Amino acid sequence: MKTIRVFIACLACRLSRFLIRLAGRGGTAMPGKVALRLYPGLLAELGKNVQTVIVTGTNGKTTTSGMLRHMLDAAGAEYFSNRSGANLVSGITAEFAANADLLGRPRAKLAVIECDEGHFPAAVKALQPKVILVTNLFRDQLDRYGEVTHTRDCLARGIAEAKNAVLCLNADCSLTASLGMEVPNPVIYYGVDGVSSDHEANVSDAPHCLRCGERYAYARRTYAHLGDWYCPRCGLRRPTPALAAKTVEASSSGSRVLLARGEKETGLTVALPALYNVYNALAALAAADGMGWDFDSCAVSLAGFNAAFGRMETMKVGGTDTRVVLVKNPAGCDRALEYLASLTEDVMPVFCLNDNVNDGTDISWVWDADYESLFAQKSYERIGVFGTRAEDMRLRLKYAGADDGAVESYPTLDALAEAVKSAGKPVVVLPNYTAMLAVRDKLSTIAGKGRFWE
Amino acid sequence: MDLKICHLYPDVLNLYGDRGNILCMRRRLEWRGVGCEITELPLGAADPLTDYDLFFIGGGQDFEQTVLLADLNAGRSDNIRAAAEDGKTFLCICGGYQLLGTGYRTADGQMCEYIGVLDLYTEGSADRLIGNYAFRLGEESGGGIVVGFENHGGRTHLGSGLTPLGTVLKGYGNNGSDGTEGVRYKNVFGTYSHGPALPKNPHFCDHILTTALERKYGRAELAPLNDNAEKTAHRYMCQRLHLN
Repeated sequence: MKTIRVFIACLACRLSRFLIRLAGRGGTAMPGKVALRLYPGLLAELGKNVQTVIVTGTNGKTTTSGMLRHMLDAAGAEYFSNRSGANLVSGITAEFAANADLLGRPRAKLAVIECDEGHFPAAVKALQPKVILVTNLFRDQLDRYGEVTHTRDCLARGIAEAKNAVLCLNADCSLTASLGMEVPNPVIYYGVDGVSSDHEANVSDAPHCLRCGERYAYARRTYAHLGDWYCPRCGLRRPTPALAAKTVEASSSGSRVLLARGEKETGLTVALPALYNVYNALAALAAADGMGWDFDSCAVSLAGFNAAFGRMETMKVGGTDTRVVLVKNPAGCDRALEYLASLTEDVMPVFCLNDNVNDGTDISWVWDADYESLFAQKSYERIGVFGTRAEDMRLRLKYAGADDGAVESYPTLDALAEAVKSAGKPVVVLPNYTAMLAVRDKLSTIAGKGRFWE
Repeated sequence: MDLKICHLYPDVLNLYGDRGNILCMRRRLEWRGVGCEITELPLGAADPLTDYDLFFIGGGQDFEQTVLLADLNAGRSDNIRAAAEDGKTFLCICGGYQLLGTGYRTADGQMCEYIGVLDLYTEGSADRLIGNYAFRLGEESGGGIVVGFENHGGRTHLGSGLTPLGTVLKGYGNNGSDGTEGVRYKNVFGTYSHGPALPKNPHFCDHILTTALERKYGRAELAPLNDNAEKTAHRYMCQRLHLN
């Protein structure tokens, strides 16, 4: 009986996926919804004989998953992954169904799965992953999950569903690190030792000790609420990372890292700019370690990893060098703005803000991001704004100190594309999620790149 | 002319871009050549609150509000009450608005006592009231439409002697049932319009600033500004909500 249900559900899933693709659309979640409607236990069934690493957290899920895939590609391993970014249970189910035959038997037996925080408990329960990686926790899409401590509790519930999974956790994020305390799971902590910044974010996402409520102190900060944190009252502190970046040498094209793994130190090249990509690389290496992959060759392969879809991705749009940097919450946005401020060449920035359900319908967070620092350092001849909340974006820039007369609001994607093509200088686009999908689709068509589900 | 603004508890009550309001008030004073001094008072800072003209209290996370109550009970709430009764201007949003009331009853029946500056109380509920919304300000608060975003589990009920800040045009407001939004008491403005409530509503921002300046200087008139960007963003949200 179960076999028949698996058969029907898998068939329906693959058929609907085929039809959607035939229509030239990127519907990546719908087929999984169809299949789960037919058989709710399908994901657990399909996940039985697959060794899975689940990647979750607020920022860096997609880039880190991309790094893990890149490691597997370099090793010639057979695996599958929800590379389209469909990271809800439905999308994950569709991916597992696509990897299985109609009797539910998996072809590849290794999976790299990016998972949305809200869907994490259900995905973990069904898949019983070998490794769980949590990159960090920041304020994100608050209207969907309520508040950041609720997201943390949601992840803790998920972890409780898989007591044997190896946890790979960011030691520098107090919220994330707390997930490895008082649980039976083996834990691999990673963190950055060799960077110290005196810049404090406008708003800390985790100012107070989760155990006693005292304000955290920092021996050293890296960015936002990340760093060598400790509680001066109850003594809770950052766990010593098993995997640490001892030194980081940053440039506009990437970072050189001295990596310590226990006693052993090695050099690591991260081919993406900005410190947050050093964190992503450490996260990917911790997960690779937890999976039991060959650590040294994984580390070497990272030098060849360029960019995940829309995350610092570059393309040439009608002669204009264009970089697309996804920003979807204050912490990620501050990193992108730092990157923008660090550029020595003259560029045209384009800020895109949508308020669709997948973005979080509340766009208040743009007021927490530090646009003031950017406009204290830079002025631009032309600034673009686009999206369903373009006018809110424009207002944010005005109050941050931008010259409102330099701001152009594009009513359509075509108008935006024309402005990019005729910019006469490099363009950096900073869109939030659905704006990124739309803008990237438009620009990459002009540039001749693939669509997002390919 | 100048205004001394006190941002109370920026370390705990700072959810959803609340600081956009401070920034908005500061810029709109600066653009008119009015001085503006902003003091952030975190948890535990000793200060009698007598030296300020305008107070801002934002929203916070549940976990952090418990941390806060200990600080309030250590004498701060008396200072807040004295300042409010003295006619100082307050803008209080979401959690900060609820805190002014007598208490909060959680969805599972627990009673949490707040500072009781105003005769209003809040009842928790599991389903949150979320979305873009709009309300019309009462005449005593300058009139006009305010557009914003609300996201609150609490349902707030005003005591019979209190005036709401406005009437709901779209969305939920105080409790989703009686059509009221926020509170206006003396120069205290309380609202559920969270995060950057002021930038898209320059008339509301200016009304609050004028209230504080008049309290300090007897009379005050703010010069008009070029508000094209503000008005465009306001109009866009009115259209989205099918107003006017």
